[in-house]
Amino acid sequence: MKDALEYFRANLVNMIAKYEGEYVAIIEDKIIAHGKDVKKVYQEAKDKFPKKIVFLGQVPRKEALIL
Amino acid sequence: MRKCFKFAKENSSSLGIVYRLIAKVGLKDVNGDMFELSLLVDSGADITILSKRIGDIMGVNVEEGEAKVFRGIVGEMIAYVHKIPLFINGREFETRVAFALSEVPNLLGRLDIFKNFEISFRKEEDFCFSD
Repeated sequence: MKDALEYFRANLVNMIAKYEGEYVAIIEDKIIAHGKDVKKVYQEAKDKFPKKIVFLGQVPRKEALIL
Repeated sequence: MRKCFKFAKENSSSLGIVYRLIAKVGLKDVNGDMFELSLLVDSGADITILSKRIGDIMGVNVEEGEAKVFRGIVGEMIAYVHKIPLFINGREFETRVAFALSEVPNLLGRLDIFKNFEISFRKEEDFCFSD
């Protein structure tokens, strides 16, 4: 089975360009839903694939972080 | 147990290419179904912090938690502490987590987590959690 985190990590540069500041719901290597409200994103993915484990990736903003 | 995660390469507007420590944890939703969440591993964070809407997915009544003041680099905030089951590589840890009412970068902090592992950072390649 393909790993959703690995897909998220490998495609993060492109995701920041498209989904900056959003969450993406990934199952294996497919983005199922995206948006700013993580609960809605999760629910949309679960409605489509109720038996699958949903991975939620928080797409960072483009600025560097100091935490 | 040994679980390694590769650094995530990002192109920041401030510094160009940076490498971040993004890990994956398991959490349970309101129906008991497992879901996974990306977290930034932050050895400078005393506690794991999650956005309220993550708590909503889990069925946690966030504001019924213990309200505590936390200080970050740009000021202080109130967050609500709950003890929740958090899974790393399938292993469960009862973890105190602070839920912020606003949207925050979700961070994996030290409390209840780091004491269970030897954590190593290998150049800009990967980082590993080991027993």
